[in-house]
Amino acid sequence: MKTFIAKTGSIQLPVLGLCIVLLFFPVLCLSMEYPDPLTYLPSLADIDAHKKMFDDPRPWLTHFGPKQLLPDKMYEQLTYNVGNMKKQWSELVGFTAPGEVEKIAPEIKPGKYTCKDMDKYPGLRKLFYKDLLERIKPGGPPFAGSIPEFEIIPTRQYYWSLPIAELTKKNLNRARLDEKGYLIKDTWDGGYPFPRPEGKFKAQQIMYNVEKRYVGWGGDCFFLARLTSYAKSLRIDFQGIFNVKMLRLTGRCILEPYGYYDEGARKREEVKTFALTYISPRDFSGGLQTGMTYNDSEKPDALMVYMPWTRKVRKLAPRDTQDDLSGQGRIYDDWEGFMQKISPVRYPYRFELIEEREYLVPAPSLDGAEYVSSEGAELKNIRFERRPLYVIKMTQLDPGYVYGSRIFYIDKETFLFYHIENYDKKGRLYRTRDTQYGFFPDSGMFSWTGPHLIKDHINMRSNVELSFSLPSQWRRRDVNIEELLGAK
Amino acid sequence: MRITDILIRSTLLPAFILAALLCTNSPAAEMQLWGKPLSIHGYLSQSVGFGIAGEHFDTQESFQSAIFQGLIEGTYEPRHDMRIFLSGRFNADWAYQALKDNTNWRDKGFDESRGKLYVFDDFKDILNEAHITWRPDHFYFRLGKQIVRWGETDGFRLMDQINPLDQRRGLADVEFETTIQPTWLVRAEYGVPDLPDWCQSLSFQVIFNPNLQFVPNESMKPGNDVSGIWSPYIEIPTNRPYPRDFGYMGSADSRLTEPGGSDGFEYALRLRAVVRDTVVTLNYYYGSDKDPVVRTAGLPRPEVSPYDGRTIFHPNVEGYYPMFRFVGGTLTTDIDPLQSTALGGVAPLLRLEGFYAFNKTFTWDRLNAFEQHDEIRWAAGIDWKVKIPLLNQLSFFTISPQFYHRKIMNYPGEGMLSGPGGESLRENNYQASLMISTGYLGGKLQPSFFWLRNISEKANFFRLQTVYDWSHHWRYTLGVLFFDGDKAGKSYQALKHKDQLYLTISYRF
Repeated sequence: MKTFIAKTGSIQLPVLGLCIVLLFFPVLCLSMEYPDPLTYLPSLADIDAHKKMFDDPRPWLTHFGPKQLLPDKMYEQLTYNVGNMKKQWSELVGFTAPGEVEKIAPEIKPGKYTCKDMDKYPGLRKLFYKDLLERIKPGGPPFAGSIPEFEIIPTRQYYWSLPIAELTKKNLNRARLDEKGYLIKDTWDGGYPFPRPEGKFKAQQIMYNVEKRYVGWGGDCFFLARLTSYAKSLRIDFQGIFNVKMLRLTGRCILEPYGYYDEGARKREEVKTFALTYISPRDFSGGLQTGMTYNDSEKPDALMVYMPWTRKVRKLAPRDTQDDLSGQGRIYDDWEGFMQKISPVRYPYRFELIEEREYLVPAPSLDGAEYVSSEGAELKNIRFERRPLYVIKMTQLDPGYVYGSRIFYIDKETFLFYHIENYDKKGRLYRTRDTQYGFFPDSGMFSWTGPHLIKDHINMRSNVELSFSLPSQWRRRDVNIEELLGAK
Repeated sequence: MRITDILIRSTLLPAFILAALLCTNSPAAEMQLWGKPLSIHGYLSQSVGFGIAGEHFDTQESFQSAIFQGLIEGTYEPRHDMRIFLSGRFNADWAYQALKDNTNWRDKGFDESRGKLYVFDDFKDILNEAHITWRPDHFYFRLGKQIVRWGETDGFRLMDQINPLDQRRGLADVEFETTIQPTWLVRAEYGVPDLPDWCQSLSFQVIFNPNLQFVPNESMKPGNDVSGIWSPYIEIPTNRPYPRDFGYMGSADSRLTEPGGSDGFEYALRLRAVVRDTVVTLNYYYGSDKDPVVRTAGLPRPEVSPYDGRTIFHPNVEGYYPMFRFVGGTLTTDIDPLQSTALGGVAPLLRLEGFYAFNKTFTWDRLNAFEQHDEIRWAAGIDWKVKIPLLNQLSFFTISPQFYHRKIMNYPGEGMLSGPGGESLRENNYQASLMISTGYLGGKLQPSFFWLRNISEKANFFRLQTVYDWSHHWRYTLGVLFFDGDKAGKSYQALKHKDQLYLTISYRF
């Protein structure tokens, strides 16, 4: 019997398998406009050598940034005339930030301060929002992220990259909201949809600028994060490293192809996709998550995970975006600070513009000198800058959602959010996020550099994240979970 | 003691501990070797099990196991499209040393399983995975000792036939690496780059097992001398006065033929596509069953148990590892209409998996003969995240029910069939499971409940467990297992004395 079975199967199948392999061998990959990112991205050891997780004040962006790491030709393609960028962006938003500030506590001048100066200069208290004000103190439990000393620098004029400004200008007045204040999807075709928000739905317009943001090299980016989590005693109870490959599929303007990435992206209304790979700790190492977001506000993101501890690729329920990510103080909807889709049907919000005023916020860094201390988990070398902000409150209308409301502190000039407060359904402050951006003046680009601070005020936990990013042109296969499976 | 035993026990364990200590001071041991990234991870885990089902022939009351698991794994990337992965493990149950002088332990015959279960010191156990992965363009090649999993269900084994199971530690709390045996395989995949708009992803996978070493499933077999405390309890009625009121089913005296050379080649093909966010696979497998079919070859060998004077019957069997061929598929999709705001708004996810196996070999008890029948196995599972604010205000509960059906085609009108592995099968065999879990303290504390019900045999397996992640290094697990069943010697009834309380402390680096 065994002989019979062997004869019937073992001859035909190897031939079939071989045919399948040979059939597809001659197919070549698509030619690429840009160098393969894997040829120029630094290793984790290189990154660590230029900026340690703790106690490292080195201004690494000045000697370990795009200018030094990107191939020369690619870097040239990503830099533009600074004067032109400033002019174009100020025309679009209708002002420059330096002209919009120093209306509150004008006696507070640029200079170096310590937490002891808070009583000496009462005006300082007026310039910080509550959460930040409470952090101006020496480090100590229960939360990381205290700032014992800081510098106030003059307000700068920021601007977005020339192609972003040009695309925004090209599509000016094209984006429209429906009668309920939701974006009519076919009316947005790239760029910031509402550079001068106004009218009845001003708050929604601001939030659509947030949703369509171009942070991180327009969404074509490699991002690596080193995360340290603290219990309320400031005991470190989690340290992880992960990287993210991000690919923008719609509204592209930084890297070619412009517009849609391909015909599939246009027809399937794909906006962006990403692949997140955990490098450590051990239980997460080799773990992957991929996601795809769609322009259709009713269509949830498509999420897949690879779990190395079961060696299985699993599809996630598309609305399974609200559970804490293993003590990291954030949920999927909190990635990048805000990954949730603005939708009239999926967890809709009521939007309110509750404040429009200047605040002192962590200035986007030009040198990356900010760091976190190992003692007391303090943030050091922090520079504050007066910035004109919108404060938006979003009240959740679906009682099933994890947050009852969210408050965003958004830069009027750049639409970057510096601080987010997330409240639970009982109105308790649940999670906050403070983002430290880096600014690359020659490119007119903002990206995430850190240290970012993520706090869970209910479970009394905090997380500090130091990140690194570079522009990168990925292919679809680079963010396809089946083709990404790593060591395990 | 063999030389290898001495070497392993004297060098491997200290090596694991040293590696852990070296890696302790960094979030990951990420380093450079010849200018290329090398990462080293691993874990040390010590679990202690206590029997809570009372004093019985097939279990050890109170302290009964002390499983130590150590694993070290390294990933090296000599090129950006190439990875080399190597992992080694050390697995020991210190109970064999701690209880070696315990009279009960010895009389029940557990000590006789020491050679097999004290330390896993075969080379195949020490070298866990060893493979090289190369990803040129749209291809993906992996050569070496590896794990491939196809299945969509948890707890039921349908598609996952490529790697043998490892149940030498029974159903105790062990790491994933202790539950499955990596196999020497050649794996090739191709992702189709240019796709029609309706298809988001399409890939082909080909797997070839050159049968460098045939490795069968290590399942829980009768006999305290081979399976230790996880030996199923099966009484053999003899209907005489004590000690001949009944006997025990003991380990089998087996003559098994393993597939050798090209007879043991295995082939597996898979097509995987994502269409409208639905994941679909079509699978084909041609290989050997990892469990043998056996039939009686003579009278059982009796042995008097020093424990209670009853007789242990060692069946005299012969058999082989039959062919296993199936075509099947899986499907995973959302069931959006079932989304309910009252339950948290997350739509359930449906997982389907099934195959049709051709000419599978069974043992027909009526004629003590091997017979071939086709069979169908399918399972459906749902993952549903729901909010239960009364129990957890901040996190969802994951509720995962599953249903499993195994049907033997052309089932004989008389007698019963036994499948590979010796499990008695009906024409239709039904099982179901339920997993419920949630997270507290920001996901650090994860209680869970698992229930596996063999509907056909009216037997149950329950596990209640709480995991606490003190840090990314330290994890503590406390759990309890319960077994019961209505039919003597069947399914989980045969494990009814295995109820166990366990505590595990693991350190990851």
